[in-house]
Amino acid sequence: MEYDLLIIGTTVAALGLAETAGKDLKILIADQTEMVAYEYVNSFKLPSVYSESAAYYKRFHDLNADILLNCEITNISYNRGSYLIEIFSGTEYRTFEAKRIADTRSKEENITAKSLNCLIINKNKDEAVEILSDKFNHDAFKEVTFIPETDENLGIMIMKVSCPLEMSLPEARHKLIELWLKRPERLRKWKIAAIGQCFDTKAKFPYCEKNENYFLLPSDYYITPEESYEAGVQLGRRLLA
Amino acid sequence: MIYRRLVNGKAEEKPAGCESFHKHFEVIVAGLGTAGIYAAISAGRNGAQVLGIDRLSAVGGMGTVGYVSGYYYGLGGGLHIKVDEEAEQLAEESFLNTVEPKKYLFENKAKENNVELLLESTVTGVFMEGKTVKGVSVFSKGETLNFSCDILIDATADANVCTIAGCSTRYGRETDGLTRPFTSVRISLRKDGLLARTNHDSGYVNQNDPFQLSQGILHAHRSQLLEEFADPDSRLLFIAPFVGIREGRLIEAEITITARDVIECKQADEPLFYGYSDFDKHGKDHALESEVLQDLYVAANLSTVCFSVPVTLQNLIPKGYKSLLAAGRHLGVDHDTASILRMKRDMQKCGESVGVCAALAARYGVQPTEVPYQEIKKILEETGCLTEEHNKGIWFDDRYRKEKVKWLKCPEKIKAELKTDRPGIAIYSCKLLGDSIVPHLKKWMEENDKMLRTNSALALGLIGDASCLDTLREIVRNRDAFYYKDCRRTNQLRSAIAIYLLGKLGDLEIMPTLREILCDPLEYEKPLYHEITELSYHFNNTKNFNEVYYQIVSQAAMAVIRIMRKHEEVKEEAREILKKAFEDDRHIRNTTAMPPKTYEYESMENIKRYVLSSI
Repeated sequence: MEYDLLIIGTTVAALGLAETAGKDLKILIADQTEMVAYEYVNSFKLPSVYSESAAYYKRFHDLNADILLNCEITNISYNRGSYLIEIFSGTEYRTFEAKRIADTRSKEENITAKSLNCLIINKNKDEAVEILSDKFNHDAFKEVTFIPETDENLGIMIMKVSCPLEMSLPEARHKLIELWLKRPERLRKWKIAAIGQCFDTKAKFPYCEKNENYFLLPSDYYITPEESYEAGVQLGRRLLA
Repeated sequence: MIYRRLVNGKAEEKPAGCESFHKHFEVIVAGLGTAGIYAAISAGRNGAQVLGIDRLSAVGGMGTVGYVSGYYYGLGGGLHIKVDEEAEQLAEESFLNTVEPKKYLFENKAKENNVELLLESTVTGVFMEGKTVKGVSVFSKGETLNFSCDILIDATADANVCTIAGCSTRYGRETDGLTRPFTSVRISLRKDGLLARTNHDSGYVNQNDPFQLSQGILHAHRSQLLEEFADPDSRLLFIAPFVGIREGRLIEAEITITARDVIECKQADEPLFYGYSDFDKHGKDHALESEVLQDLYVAANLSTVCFSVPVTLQNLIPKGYKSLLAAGRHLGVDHDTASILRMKRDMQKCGESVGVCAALAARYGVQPTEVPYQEIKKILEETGCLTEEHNKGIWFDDRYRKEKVKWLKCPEKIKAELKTDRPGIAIYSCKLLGDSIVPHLKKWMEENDKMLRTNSALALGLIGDASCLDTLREIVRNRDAFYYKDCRRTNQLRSAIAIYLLGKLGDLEIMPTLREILCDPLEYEKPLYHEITELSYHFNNTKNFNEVYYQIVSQAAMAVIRIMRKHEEVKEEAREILKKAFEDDRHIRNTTAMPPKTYEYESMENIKRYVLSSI
């Protein structure tokens, strides 16, 4: 099958790009996972954004684009003005052609910092304030930051644990859990509701052209999903111009 | 040796040598979900050097990444008991559920038991000598790695590796090829600080088409925005990033377990474990299921009866293949039985027992079938994976009704139960007794007790005796809305049962009534579809689904098809009825106001699609 544009990653930047360029270009979006907007939603990057996954699923569903979730891009080669892409999905390899590629994920070598985040809950909503004022003079928690949320009934915070760039997700999860099991008394009443399904990452650069018609647009460069979406829109407009 | 992979729908085979392999493992487990993680730990625990591969970034599958942390039936026993206890303890102190503790414990136990984990990695090809598997190729973080093995365990749940190896597989039900509806799992935070999990059945999708599956996933999760799923008492936290697929490809095994085997409680000489559940099929479109299942589920109203099912090594070996085992819900069962043998506890035991077989086969340098069964049994009994108590037989096993089911033989006992609103065991017992009970049933049909009369007619219908026809027709013509109460859920209406049986019997005289049900616009105005008089009837208003209308119309449509197939002379009339009935979306809209692709919409759409393809 032939496409005008292959977008790698079901990210927020990919959404902005596909919503803009999908009007005129035939698009394929491919991702290794079955998550969407994961760099903001499933990473617990920002308060309350993690709750918006259904809305993002809707927007991806409504796109004028073909979407392949749970797939691996196993090979990309360039031949006479077009990219030949080999994708493995389920049980078999499929080959596609695309005139352009936009990779919206962050590769390990292009990341400046990363953390694994989790959502912690306390039945007493006032204890979040106490935790934050405590500043945690606790050695093990030096690499940890807390972001509180407002809730009528409960104490809710995102806890971010910084990780070395080379650390894998399972290793980081173990680090976070082992840290949590030894948490100071002040945090004893807090419980983990969920740990991020992916890292909260920060890309080194917002955009570059890797090869001819091969763009890197790391969605996680931006602090908010709105900015990331806008970056996708901008690239979409450039491709249509 | 050849290297085999699938490319653009075709098998591609190339000669390969041993130099292709990066490393050898005694046992490789592809897929580290519910069954696979236990297969890996169990094989490692029994001395094998193991490689575990999964495409996700965590192990545990639906129980962890899919957030389905609880259990539905299955029988507890084996390695998972200790893991569950430890996870509960960790959760009590530090987590809101057992999801993250389980990932942590699984990964630690894998390490302790000599299992090397390769996550975010996918098996993409298989090395084979004839029909003996020798190794796999794996795409992992940008590169392809090849590993050889003594035994390969396909624990992908969809028989992915077996499919790449060329094994025969089956998919979906006989009528329309569809599998069970899948689930989108939503995690919410309640006001009391606890997590709530809700599973929303999310329609039907061809899982073998990655584009369709991707659209299905997106649609399922977007449906969480629908008003019907809103919950003012909790705050949506997130949607589990892994849909719950209940049924995919099933391997063609050396021996396949059928629904008939299950219902007849067929025993096995060398069981590895016992599964245990009801036919938890989820879909409401019973009319499209097999007659074996509908005889039990619809005609006898025994939807929640649980069966213990022995699983042997022969059910886990792809037919004709060597050094390859299946662990998970893709084992050798038919479509009906796939709804029983899929529960998490049982799949954990499936993984554990396959792990033991693989490890011993690798240790002795033989095929799993050549390992002495007594040695396997001893290990499985030690952990509690296999016990005689698991051979429970047939049970009503819930709070509504807890009793062992024994099929009845004594006519007086049958008569006593046929007089009640829970006649299911008696009705199905009559089916098993066959002709010998017919004279009694005919006599009881002449008695004044309406319940006895009608239930005797249902039993005769199930046996296939035409003396029940007048009574069954009367039930349908009156749109008898009596609702049986054998089960805690999925109970059947008398009219729906009678329509099913009349279709099965090929009754020509009911055709005008079926035409009325299917084609008369005034049918929907009848009170039974709107006034639910039975207090116990769980009419599902929240999900916007008129179950009474749905069951009667769907059974009527299928009855017309069955009659048409038995009587050539009414073929044209039947076609005309069905064409008229489904020329528009009236039946869909009378059933639900939910949008296309939702489970509720698709339930009637499935009927419409099948009907139109049959005429």
